Amino acid sequence: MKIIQRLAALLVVLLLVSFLSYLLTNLLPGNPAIDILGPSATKAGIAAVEHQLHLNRPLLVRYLDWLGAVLHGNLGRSYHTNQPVSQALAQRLPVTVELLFLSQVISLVIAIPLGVLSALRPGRKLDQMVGAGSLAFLSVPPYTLAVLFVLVFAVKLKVFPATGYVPFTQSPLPNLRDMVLPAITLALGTTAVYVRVLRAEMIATLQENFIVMARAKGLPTWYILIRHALRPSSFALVTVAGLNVGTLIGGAFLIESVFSLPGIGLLTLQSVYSHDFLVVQGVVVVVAAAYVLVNFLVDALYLVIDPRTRHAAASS
Amino acid sequence: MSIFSRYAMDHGDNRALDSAQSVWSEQGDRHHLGTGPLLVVEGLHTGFELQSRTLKAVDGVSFSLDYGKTLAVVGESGSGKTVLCRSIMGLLPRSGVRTSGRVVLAGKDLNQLSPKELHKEWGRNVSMILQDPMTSLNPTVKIGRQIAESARWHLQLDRHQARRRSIDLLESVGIPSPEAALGRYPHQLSGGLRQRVAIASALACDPLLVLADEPTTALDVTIQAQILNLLDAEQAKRRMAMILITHDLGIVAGRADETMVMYAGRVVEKAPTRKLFFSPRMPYTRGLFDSLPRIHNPSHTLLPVIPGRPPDLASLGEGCSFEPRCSSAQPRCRTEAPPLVSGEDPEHLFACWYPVAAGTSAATSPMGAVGPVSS
Repeated sequence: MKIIQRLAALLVVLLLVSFLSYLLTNLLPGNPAIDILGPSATKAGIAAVEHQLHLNRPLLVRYLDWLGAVLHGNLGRSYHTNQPVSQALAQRLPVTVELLFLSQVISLVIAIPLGVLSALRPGRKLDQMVGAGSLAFLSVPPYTLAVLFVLVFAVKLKVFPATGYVPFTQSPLPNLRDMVLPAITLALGTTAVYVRVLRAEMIATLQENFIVMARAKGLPTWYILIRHALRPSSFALVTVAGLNVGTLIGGAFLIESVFSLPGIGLLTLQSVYSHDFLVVQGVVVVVAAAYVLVNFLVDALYLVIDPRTRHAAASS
Repeated sequence: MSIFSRYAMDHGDNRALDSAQSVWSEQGDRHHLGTGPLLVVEGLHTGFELQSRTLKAVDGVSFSLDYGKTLAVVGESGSGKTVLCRSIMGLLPRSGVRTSGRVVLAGKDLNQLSPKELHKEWGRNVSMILQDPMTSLNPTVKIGRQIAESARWHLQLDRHQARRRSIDLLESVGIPSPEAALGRYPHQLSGGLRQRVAIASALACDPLLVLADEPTTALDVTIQAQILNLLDAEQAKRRMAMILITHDLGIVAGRADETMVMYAGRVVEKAPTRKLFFSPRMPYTRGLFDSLPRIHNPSHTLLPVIPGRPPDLASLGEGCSFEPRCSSAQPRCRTEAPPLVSGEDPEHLFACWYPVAAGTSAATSPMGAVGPVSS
């Protein structure tokens, strides 16, 4: 029952988001027909292209046409390349997904130990250092970091390439080499947030009676931290990570354009510049659906973390 | 006990022990190795450092407890019972807390041990039961693991042995269908059953000493009796010593060999339970007994109360800390703190310059309220 409700809500969200983005892209100054024909376009030529692309019809009618096609699984074709939008997405999406995935793995691998260790002795040296470090990374916008990283690691040290992309399926290692800098850049901002969120909740958990009890059993500290304290302390982390997906996708768009990774971010930017609206629409729908789905998964993750919510879910 | 197992025990080789058929009886013998005092506490002080002053939560407590015996520690909230319990274990945080004095458990001075050595004592030789079973069990860890983890760690049991031991323990503390209970989470059990689980986990390594910090305060009265009887039975079966911390005198009668009354971080009276109940000497103890409701009184009788409130532990005066609330206080009480000494009876210690006359409280003895002393 709950799942059906959630799916209905998902559909409403997708509908609203797609309409708003349709509206916004069409309100952009400029005309796709002029982009296609170039500066030497004649009035008659523009009218012909507009007619061909149905651009002369009212906005609402065009939106409903598009929606009807989408419901039949057809996202339309690019105005410029005539490539099906779904095909363009299929090419570009894996790059962005890989970038997001790697950055989150890096983020969590760094954030969990740092959060746990700084919670163990709050106010001590390590905690202060981690706190100052995360504040620093939180205050610097990712695109600044991206440029800085390119300068240091790619231009000066030449450890990692500044730009370029090889698909993972073609050659995994060069692919990872290309991905390291963008993924780290994207990870740093979220890492700082995760460390702070986890630390705060961990400090509260460590005051609990069951932690006193675990200590009184003579269990080693690492065991208590991992087995007893981490799981009850990860609610906020999971929640924030889920809500962060939106910010992260926004960040990925920037990072992709700095490192010229051919993901959906770069695709979107190019399409916006060239008024290739149907491609933008396709991206928006996919991103919105992904965002809602990820948060759906986060809710499911609560059930895994805390058995009490499982019980409540079963009885309601 | 076989020569082999004695050798194994003397050399701390628990794996050899656990391979033996009867784990319980073999390990129970560990408790026979010592006679006389198991725990000796001498001049234990615990202070919490506040901004400008030190809060003396435990102020010079000394006592000893023999193998297999029970000591009850009684007092109001804030009298230092829980801090005493944590100080004995050494569980208090190191920063901001000042502890001094000796805590000798089975010949080892716990305050002299390194953290690593101390961890080996916790759960193995001394374990703890907390007041509230709702919060003392981890809500995200299955019961089976919570019971067996100390045994797995200290006795190096493998998964299979740990499971068997958990089942034995759950059976022993009276959990219905123990095998199914292993896979449950604490929230799936009632408060009484949770406290049984907490007890089972405290008993997992067959400790020499259990510190029970108000083990029944959070439970229904009917469940209280069950839990106390269970603790009694387990204690007798395993020959372990117990410190029973409570504010409820009714619990103490018939269960504790000795009773120690605490006030403002100090021991103000200590005697074999029967003697303390029949003839409390310290006015504070007397006041505690007088404030118990009695079945023979007519309905709506106002209970006598001890006026005032416990003192601020951060600013104790020179004299007796109970003096401001004491009805028999004299000028001397304000200037000089009475030492804990014995009167005519060497077993009966009290800290009072003007004690209640011995044997005067037979008429108002709380036995009427809590039933006869059975031991």
